[in-house]
Amino acid sequence: MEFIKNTHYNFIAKRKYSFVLSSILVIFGLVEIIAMIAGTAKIGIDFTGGLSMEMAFKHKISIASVRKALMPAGFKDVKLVKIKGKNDIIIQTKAVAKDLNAYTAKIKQTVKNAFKKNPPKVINSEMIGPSVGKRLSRDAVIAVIVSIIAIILYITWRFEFRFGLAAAIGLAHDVLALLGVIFIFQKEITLLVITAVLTVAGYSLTDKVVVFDRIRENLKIETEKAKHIDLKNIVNVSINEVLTRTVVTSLTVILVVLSLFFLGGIVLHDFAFALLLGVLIGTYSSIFIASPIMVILNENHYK
Amino acid sequence: MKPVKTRVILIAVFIFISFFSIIPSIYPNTPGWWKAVIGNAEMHLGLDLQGGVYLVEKVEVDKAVKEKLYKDYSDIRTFIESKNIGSGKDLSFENDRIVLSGNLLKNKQAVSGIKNYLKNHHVSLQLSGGIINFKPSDLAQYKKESVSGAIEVMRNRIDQFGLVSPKIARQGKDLIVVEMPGVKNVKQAVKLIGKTARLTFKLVDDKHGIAETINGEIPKGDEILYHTAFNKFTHKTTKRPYLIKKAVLMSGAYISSANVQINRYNQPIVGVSLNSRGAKQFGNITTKYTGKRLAIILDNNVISAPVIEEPILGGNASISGRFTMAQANNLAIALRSGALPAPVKIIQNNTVGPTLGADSIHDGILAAVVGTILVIGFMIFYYKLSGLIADFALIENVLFLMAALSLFGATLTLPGIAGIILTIGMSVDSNVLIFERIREELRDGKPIVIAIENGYNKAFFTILDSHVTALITAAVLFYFGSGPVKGFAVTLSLGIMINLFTSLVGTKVIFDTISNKKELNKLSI
Repeated sequence: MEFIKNTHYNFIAKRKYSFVLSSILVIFGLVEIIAMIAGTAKIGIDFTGGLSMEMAFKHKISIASVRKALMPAGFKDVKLVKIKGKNDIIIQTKAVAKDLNAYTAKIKQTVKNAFKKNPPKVINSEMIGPSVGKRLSRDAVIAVIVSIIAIILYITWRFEFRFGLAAAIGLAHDVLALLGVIFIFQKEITLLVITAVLTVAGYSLTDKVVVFDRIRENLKIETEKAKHIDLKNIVNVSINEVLTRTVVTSLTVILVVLSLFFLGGIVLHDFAFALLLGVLIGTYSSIFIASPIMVILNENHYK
Repeated sequence: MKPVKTRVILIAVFIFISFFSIIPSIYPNTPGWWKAVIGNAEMHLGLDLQGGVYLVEKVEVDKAVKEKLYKDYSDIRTFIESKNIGSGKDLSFENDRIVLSGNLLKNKQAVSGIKNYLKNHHVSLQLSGGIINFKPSDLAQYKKESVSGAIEVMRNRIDQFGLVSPKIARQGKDLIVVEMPGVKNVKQAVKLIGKTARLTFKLVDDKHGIAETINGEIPKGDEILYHTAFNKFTHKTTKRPYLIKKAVLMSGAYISSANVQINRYNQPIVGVSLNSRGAKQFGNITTKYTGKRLAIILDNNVISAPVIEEPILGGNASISGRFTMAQANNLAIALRSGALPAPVKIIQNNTVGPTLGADSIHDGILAAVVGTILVIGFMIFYYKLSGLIADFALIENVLFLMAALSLFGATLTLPGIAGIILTIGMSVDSNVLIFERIREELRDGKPIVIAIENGYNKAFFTILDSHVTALITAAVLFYFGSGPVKGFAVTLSLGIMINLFTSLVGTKVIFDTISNKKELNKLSI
């Protein structure tokens, strides 16, 4: 079985289009980051904190039924905890401190309407702070910067500095573009989404190294054979050579992510969404961003 | 012929070890000796999958305020006495505030001197009407900081305690909600995160006998503190009183690291390293009081009171106190992560069910199973029998990863499961690389055995480089990350290393075995 045979696409020639598309996504990504710093981005309850209320029901109650009652009323990001041995449920949801009372009343009313035969009583209702420390966001940023430097160093050692730089630019592009997509779709930044972004960073890096490795190999063969090096051609040939692998690998990952997206339920929905786009962006950027940038960085070298 | 025996044995041993380590996590009635062999390591399910403990703790901010004020009181008193501004007796600590009286209050110069001192050294305090107290706005700020400080310290401790992933959040003004998965180790964990862990060094008052003071008068400036010891043979707790000078010589704030060591009597002790400032201070104290007994006090319990034999100048000290290994370990974690700025009290203790309803868990597992089957099916469809070999590596991957997570005592959450599934999707990448190389070789007309050999050789460095770069990212995340990011980094790095092994060794050995057995005329790829 083979999907693709002996392709000769000229990927590098398409770089004008891809650079425009990527610039737009990266700009949106930067907007998302600025919004996160400014506190206007959509951020999950893990980071912002919110409202926590404990409700005592008269009879047995299941988390699933409470979730079903709250979701259609617009309470999407709710965390529910059931206390064992009692019919109590703790509802945690994002709320702005200003309209706390109105918000509490709204939740109370929604739940009461849904469980007329099992009327709940609000035991307490209070603001809770973020469950993720301020350190986590700072640490994640430091980690990303340090790993980019470390990767440049490693790839410089194994390949060449220009390869390392191109891979790092590609990686930064992927993270920003993914955040850009998250901004465009107005998805909420939760711990799960952060995990997805970090996973994508790992995937995208692997993908770039595979493409670059083939470029390095072909470059070596050509340098031994000919005096004049047509770098664009070598890069094109290399990308075409590993194209089957790129397609097959993305496909297996996408198969998994799609099944998480369609079958994994509401909890994994945004996570799977971020992963799906991240994998697409990572694969796309190895071919259309990181490789052309590598060509640009190398142009003077091989003239 | 390629020798395969060693590799087959190696893989068989790994598979055996993996099953051996996973079974206690899956089957609760595993015999005790079995669990002991793997060091009682077990995979835990997170809050979302199995529920756990829901604690509400109250931070006793008033106590923190009082203690802070008392500390400032000592500072101000020292200042008054050292600068000869007045008599220290005219400054007292009453009803949780600092009160000026007598000559100190009458002397205008003294009052303005104290005001100046406060302005420069204790900005949050004010002196008015002969009383020193917090400025109202600073008081509120200090209370707020005590609570957030307590949360930071608790998170620190949790991070050091291992891979349990609890949630810690502030509730209302001075409450902290702690949600912790599982219930098994909770008592120990609660003890650990709730411990104030304030370490102080004070002198033992050797001039007065403890026997004469215990029922009579306690000498001025002294207090009686107890050393509590638990005898593991008689199961009795004994309390031994010490007469201690109240003045704090040094606090635990200068500790830069603490870890468990074993002394020459084979007992666990806690080795403590001080930062440069602490080392200097500790050097001064031990020089000044050589020959006296120094009490090491943790939260008003005397841990030990050794005689200072000689000045300790290097900034390294050790605390011995007939600990058990677990006690020593907990003490080390508590000292490393710093003291809680205020004591905490548990006011609500509930057991809660999984935060994800049964339906969400069911959905997640279904998605995982379907995703895996799709990948396995696709590999066979695309690479035929070779795909089957890759699938074998894939299953090995999952098995090894589960075993490693069990041995690390990791906490499995639904997102964690999703992450493992994702590594499945990615794990076939190495084999895809190899298979595509083999196909290229075959297209060039190479004999099958050589094509396989070349395929693996040519893919080797690609696989190595791509794995190492991914591993670098994971290592950086582990080193700089905290909380959930750290846990993610562990799973990721384990997954990468295992994948490297299974793809390069795990599948190659099968190809070699097959080509050893018979002449290959056709390769199903």
